[in-house]
This record gives sequence, C-alpha cells and structure tokens, in this order.
Amino acid sequence: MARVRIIGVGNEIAGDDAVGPAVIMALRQRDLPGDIELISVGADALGVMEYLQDDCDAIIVDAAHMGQVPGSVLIFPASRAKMTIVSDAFSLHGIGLSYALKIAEQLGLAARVTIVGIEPESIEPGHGMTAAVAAAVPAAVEAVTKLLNSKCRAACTPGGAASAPA
Amino acid sequence: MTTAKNLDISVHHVTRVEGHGNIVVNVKDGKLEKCELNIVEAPRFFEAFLRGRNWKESHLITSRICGICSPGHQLTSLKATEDAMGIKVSEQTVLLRKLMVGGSFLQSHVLHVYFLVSPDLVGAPSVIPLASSHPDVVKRALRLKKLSNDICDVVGGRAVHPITMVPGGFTKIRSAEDLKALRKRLADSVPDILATVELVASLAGKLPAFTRDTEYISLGGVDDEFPLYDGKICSSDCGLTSDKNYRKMTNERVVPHSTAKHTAVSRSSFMVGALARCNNNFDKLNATGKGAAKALGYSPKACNPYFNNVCQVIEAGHVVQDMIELIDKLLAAGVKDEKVPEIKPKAGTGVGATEVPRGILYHEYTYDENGTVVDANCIIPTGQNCANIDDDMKKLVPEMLDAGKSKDEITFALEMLVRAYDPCISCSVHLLDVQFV
Repeated sequence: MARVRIIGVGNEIAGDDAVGPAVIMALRQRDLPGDIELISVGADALGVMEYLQDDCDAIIVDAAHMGQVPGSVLIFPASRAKMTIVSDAFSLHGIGLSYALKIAEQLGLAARVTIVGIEPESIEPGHGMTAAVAAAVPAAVEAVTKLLNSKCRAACTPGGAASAPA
Repeated sequence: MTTAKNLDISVHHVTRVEGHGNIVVNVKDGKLEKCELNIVEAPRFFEAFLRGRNWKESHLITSRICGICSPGHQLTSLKATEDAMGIKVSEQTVLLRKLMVGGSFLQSHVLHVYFLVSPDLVGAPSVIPLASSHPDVVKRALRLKKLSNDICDVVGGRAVHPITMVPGGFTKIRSAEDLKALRKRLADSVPDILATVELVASLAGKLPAFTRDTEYISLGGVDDEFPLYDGKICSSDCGLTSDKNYRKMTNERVVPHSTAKHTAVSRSSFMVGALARCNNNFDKLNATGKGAAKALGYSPKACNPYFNNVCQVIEAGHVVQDMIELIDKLLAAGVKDEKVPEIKPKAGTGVGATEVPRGILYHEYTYDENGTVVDANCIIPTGQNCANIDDDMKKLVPEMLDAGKSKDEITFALEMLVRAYDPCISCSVHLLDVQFV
C-alpha cells in the first residue's frame, strides 16, 4: 500500500476550527495500519499542498460547514464536493482549504484526496471546542482508521492495487 | 465615459491583502473631497498583553502579531530584550539569525509576488486560473515556498512561530550535515529564482507608470552588507540615525479613518519596504540581487510605488545567494553546539530594529529588575506605510481622472496600489464551506 498522508487543518485558537489538529493528535496515540504520515498544518491551508503528490493518497481532516448537525462526521472525496470560495478571500493568512484544493485540482494533485469533515458549531476566536465537536473527535478518528483499513484491504486483497497482475 | 466632475469609489475589503481595508474615494464637482485607505481591523493590544509578562516570553508573545513575519517579530523582540539587558550573542547566533531572516524574506516575497500580485498582471481574478494555464509557474512558487519554510524549520525548529530562538542564542543548533543539505537545496533553487525574475520582467511593463517621490526609510549604514538584521535607521531625506531615535523616525499619530496609526517624518508620509530598502541600499545588493535588478529594469532611485513588487523579486534573489554564503561561513567556522548562556535579568530599556519583508520593524521594551515588562511599544511596517498609500492615492486619482480613465480602471489601479505595498492587516479563521454535488 502506498504511503497515506493524514493532514489536519485548522486554527487551534478558533473554537471548533481546532478539530483537525485535535484528530491528528488523537491519531498519534493509535497504532495505524500501513505506511502513514501524520501532519498538522495548523491554519496554513496552503501548506497542505506541500503534502499532495500524484503518487500518494491523502486524507484531510478539517472542520467543514456541510449543513449537518454540529459534530457530524462525513467522509467524501475532494472531487465530490463543491467548495465555496468566499468572495476572493485569498491572502497569505486568509487562504482557505477550499482555495488550496482548487489549486491542487488544477495542478492535478487532488485526485487522491479524501476529506473527513466535521461540522462545527462555533468558530469564534478562543481556546476549546464546543462539547458537540469535542465529542466527535473519536468518531473522526474511527472514520480515518476505517478509511485506512479499507485502503489496506484493497492493497492486500487479490484484485487490489498491490497484487494486480502486471 | 466618466466625467471628471464626480466620482465615488468604495471598495469594501480590498482582496488579496492580509486583513480588512477599504478604499474610499469621493470627487465632487471636480474636487477631490476624500481619498483614503480605511483600516477597519480592531486594535490588537499586544503592547498591553506584554506588560507584566516575563522577559523570556516577550518574543513568543510578539511572534503572534503575524503568522507570516513571526521570525521577524521574534528577532526584533530578541534584539530589544538583549539591548535592554546588555546581553551579547555569539557570531554563530548572528549568522543563524540572518539565515532565518533570509528564509522568511524568501517565503513572504515569493508568496506575495506569485499568489497576490501576478494575477493582476495577467488579468486573472486570482491564482486559480493560473494553476491550469501555467501549472509550472504555480508549482515553482510552491517549491520556493516549501524551501523557505524548511529553512526556517531547520534554523528555528519550525516554520511558523519558531521555538529555538531565545534571548542570548539558540536552544538547539542543527548539525553541519543539515546545513549542508539546506545549502544544496538553495543552490538548486537558483534556476527557480532566475525563472521568477524572467517571469516578473516579462510582466513588469503592465505595472502602472505612476511616480510620486516620497521619503524612503529602511535600515542603512552597514558597510559590507545589504542591511536586513541590523543597522542604523536610514532616511532618504535625513540620512542616518541610531535605532534609539525610532520614535522621531515614525511620529505615530491617530487619524479618524484608520485603526492603524499614521506616521510621518520630514514630509506628510514616508514609505518602508522592499522599494525603500533597494532605493537606500542598492550598492549593497549582491550579484544575484543586482542581476535581478538589471533584468527587471530597476535602478535607484525609483519613485513608482508599484515597483515595490519588482524590488521584492530583487530581494528574493539577493537572499538566496546571501543564505548560501551564510551557510558557507557557518560551515567554515565549524558548527558549534553552543549553549545559551545563563542570563540574570536586569532593569533597563532596549530597542530592536530589523527589516521584515514589509519594511522596518521596531520593538522597544522596558523591564524592571526582575525582568518583568513594564512598558512595550511595537511599530509595524504596514502602519508606517498607511499615510504613504493615502498620499499616493491623492496624486493617482486626479491624474487618472485627467487622463479620462473610467471608474473601473481607477478602482483597479487603486486596489493594485494597496496590494503593491503587501499590507499585512490581520489574521483570519480557516474553514471549509461545502455543498455536495
């Protein structure tokens, strides 16, 4: 199985936006299957692009407004979501993940990106997540682990990528 | 067609700058009534946060003023603390700190020129269309960003808000092998730098041909190098003065239309940043910097504020060569695992002045005998440029009206002008907004 990069994005002092880095921290306590790299890029969403390569799977964990109940965890390929770029909000500080992924898509680097989104309740400045989102961290960790397990199975099972006939 | 009689421009939140600023222009019966950049961010109160804190925390707290310039704020802060307490640092520490300066300049300038300015020059609304039309250009920008992040990571322990720089030195020194690896990557990046110069040279003709002479302020008075880490304060109008006189070289004042204070010295405004540095210290640029200047058609003294972006590219070239030479010096002297000396705090006042990507930065602290901050003052480059931006706009708008330019053309030129200064107004939250398709 090829290396999988798991990338947490979020500002740790913006309420529930901290959930991405929090999930990465929780994953560090786990034994994870396969060749895994855990990365926390903090608020530097453009930094995500440094880890996207065409020969490497990536799982991005981030707070996401998905119209769900706060604390909901959804898994979806980056290509399946239409991410809103709020006005032309690009700045060195203000770049959102949606912007970074759009650039990655144009560069052909987003095809192997899966997103684990966690619906936030509040992203007001300040330490600490809301109870609903803090309680969602284990579910997000499970979601990532399941994704890794299925990638492993795909790689190790006959017909999977690793054993596909040449 | 616009008549020159009446014009109302209100750009709410200029894009591709750090934080929130509005452009307001009002022309009535041919008379310019209002022309200003409104800074609408809330004040940050960092100086108040510092009061009562320990001397070992000053650089860690002020680092948070800016996620882009965090190394620059730390270095300025460390210099102020060391000045206040009479702490001397080793030659190796100075070389490593200069390496840090180079890394942060490269990162900031590359991102600004590629991601925030170049879309204006090719008529794109943002960098996204460029990623599909010019993928190699965007990939090159990302390579240079990664390199500059890694430089700050190697020297400072991490790219943003470094952790190894402390008063008196570094808590951890990376090995000679790590520095050699960095040197190789810097040498390998030279083609990317030359390609950047070539790209911007091909687009420089699209920069508006606007000039307004102003006072240019930067570090200066250093014999053998382009001063970024240390030096005196240099004004193109008044010459050199000690960094201790920084208050006289800023004269901060409150204005009604901006939460950022305005500054002035010998005229109604002055400019800091890459253009000011190149104008004041052109002779001190190294061969890569001067080569870039020649290719880009820059020679001092240039009075076109849009050329600030050209000078950022010149400096990007300069710092790459400079960092290679800094590493050579470190390796030649033998990288020593120096320990931070034992420091006993003492009462005093100290000033730090360094160049950060957007211009000259000042920190001043007063400590009591326990090393507790009793007073602090930080003067940020963007604040120093605000009055100059207003003065540029007051000359630019009537000129464009006289030339029969449309409201859209004038608005675009004004937004580009604000972006040319690379203003850094605040930080923001990062969040995905998702609709499923």
